[in-house]
Formats: sequence, C-alpha cells, structure tokens
Amino acid sequence: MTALHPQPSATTSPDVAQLAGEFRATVLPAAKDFLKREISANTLRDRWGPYYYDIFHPFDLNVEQAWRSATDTDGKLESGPPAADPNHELPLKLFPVSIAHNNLDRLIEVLAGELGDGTAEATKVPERIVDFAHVVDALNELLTSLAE
Amino acid sequence: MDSQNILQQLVDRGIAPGIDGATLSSADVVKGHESAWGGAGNLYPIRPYTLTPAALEAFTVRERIHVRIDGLGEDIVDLHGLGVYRRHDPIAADGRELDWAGATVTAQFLSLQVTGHSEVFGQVKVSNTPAKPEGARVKPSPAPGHGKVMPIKDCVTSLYPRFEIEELGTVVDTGDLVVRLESRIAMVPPVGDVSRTSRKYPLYDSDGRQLGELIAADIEIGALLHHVPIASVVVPEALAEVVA
Repeated sequence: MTALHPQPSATTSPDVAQLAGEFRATVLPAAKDFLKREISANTLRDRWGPYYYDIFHPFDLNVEQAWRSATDTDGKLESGPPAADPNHELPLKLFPVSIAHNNLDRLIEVLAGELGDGTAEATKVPERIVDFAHVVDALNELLTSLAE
Repeated sequence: MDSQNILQQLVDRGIAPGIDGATLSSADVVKGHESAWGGAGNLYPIRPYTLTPAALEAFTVRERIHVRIDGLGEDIVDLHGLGVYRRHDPIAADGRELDWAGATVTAQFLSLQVTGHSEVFGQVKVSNTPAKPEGARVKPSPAPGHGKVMPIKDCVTSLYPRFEIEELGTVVDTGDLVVRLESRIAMVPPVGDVSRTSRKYPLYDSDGRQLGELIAADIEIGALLHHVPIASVVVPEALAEVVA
C-alpha cells in the first residue's frame, strides 16, 4: 500500500493539493485494479479504508472548520430555512469533495457487500460498477481542478 | 495513471453480459445530483453541518431501480420525481449539548412519487406506502477503530415502495419487508446524497404471489424545492420503532 502522509491538524486549512495527490497515489491504482478484475471488492475496500479514514477524514474536519469559521457557526441549532447566500460560495468550494467522498464510501461498501472476495466480473448489479468508474473519474477531475 | 483509462477500460472490457460501452452514458450513472458537484450558485442554499428545527420539506428525487419481473425480464429503469418529508426536531446525544456532531435527526416520509420508462416494462411508477411507517434516521458516524466521530452522519431510509409496471398490469411491492437505503450525509436536507440498497427484495402482487425481485435501488436527492418550519411534531409510535 502507498505510504500515507501524516494527518493534518484539524485546525489547519484544507489541503486539497495533498488530498488530490493521495487520491492519485492510492485510490486511482486501486480503482484501476478493481476494474481490471485483478482485485476483489473486499481488497478494494481494504485499500480505500486507510485513505478514507486517515487522509480524507482530517481533510473533511478541516472543511467543516473552515465552514464554521467563515460563517461564524458552532453546530448548534439554527432557525430559518436554508438561504441562498452568495457569500457561502467560497467556504463551500471544497464541500463537493466531501459529498463525493462520502457517496463513494457507500458505493464501495455496497460493492463489497455484493461481491465480497469476488471481482467485478461476478457482479449482478453492473450499473454500480459503471457508477464507480464515473465517480472516481469525476472526483479525480474535481480534485485536480481545485488543486490547481 | 491517466484517469481516462478507468472509463476506457470499461468500454474495452465491458462490465457484464448485456452491459457494454453504451452504458457509460452519464445520463444512466448515479453519482450524485449535479448541484452537489459545485458550480457557480449551485451551493448557495446549502448549509452543511447545521441543525435546524422541525420542518416540512420537498425536494427532487431521482431513483434508479434494477428489477426482474417473471415473464417480462430484467431492466434498469431511471425514474424522476418528488419527495416530501416531515423532519422532526433534532435530538441531543445523552449527556451532550445539542449540536451537529452528536445529534440524531429523524423524519417521516410523507410522499415519494417517481416515474420513468423502460423498454421491458413500459411506464413505471414508484411510490411509497403512507399507511406504513416510513422514515429516515440520521445519526453520528463513528470512524471505526479511531475513537472519532466523522463530520458526516449515517443515514438510513426505510420505505415500503410500490411499483406500478405497465406491461405487468398490476402493482407489486415488497410485502411486509421494509426496503432500507443507506448513505452518509453532511447536511439536512441532504442535497447531493446518494443512498443505496445492499440486498435484493422479493416483489409480490396483492395476493402475495412473488412475481419478481428488486435487485437494487439507488436514490439521488436533488434540489430542495420547499421548506416550511413547523411548530410541533407527533411521531407515530410505529414510526418511532422504525427510526429508533
């Protein structure tokens, strides 16, 4: 497995360039191996897990902290409907990265649930393999564009 | 590695019998509503990691179902429509002040109506069953072995879907078996959320005869259409058990 970088502090700014680099070093090769049917869904999940929890999780905490700092919120109950506020654009710039990672985690979970130690070739739900390829591809593009 | 290789590999190899490169059309892919991928203005209404009081909320829904019906065949059907739920006041964790990280949020599904078309099944409509306890529960997501709570929350949606299938000429459902879809969310309402089933469900007609199965269901939550704060909520006992 690719060596994982140390966790960033939860008080630092989200480092999307570092996340993009780790994604390319860890997730893309695992995704490629899975789609080539060289590794099982369980192995895919095993390779995704350390990235998700040790690299993405601190990044996600930093995204949350950046949001709280920018909006002066503390996670307590707020009133009123969600308001369309252009001032939120910048603090929310990295939020799609969080949404996509969390949706991808669930997708890998259901792939592992269906296939276990089997490869993609054994799937009875091929549309989710296609989803997986598209999400990985789109997330890589998103990370690359944000890191530039 | 060039990421384009990932998609190209699918085209070159195919995925499984009956699935070829044409399936790569992005219109068929479930990867989260486009607004959740960014873009100017798309995220303005989003307030992540934030608790709000009870409300009625309506939102767009896209659902992709993979269904097999005896005598007709198997198909993947793309459905679009609306969902409405009554979201309850958030509940604080024991011994903890009410905040996003520790709170549990539940909601009652009031309506789900999505429709689409299939070459195999004709017109397809999926709706919920209001007479049964249907809802969602959002609770803290622990990071395994790390002793930490993620900024996201685990969401479990419980539904009793009904499938109107034109070519079948009748409605089928999962009987007394509740369909569970799970996801990870970072805001309520969960714009951009993709929830997925993790098992198959048998489909029965009104006489209890099994006529097929729901092989998989994947749901994207899209735009929030309407939000109405409400002063009080009574959670039916049966629903409380479902979302407990």
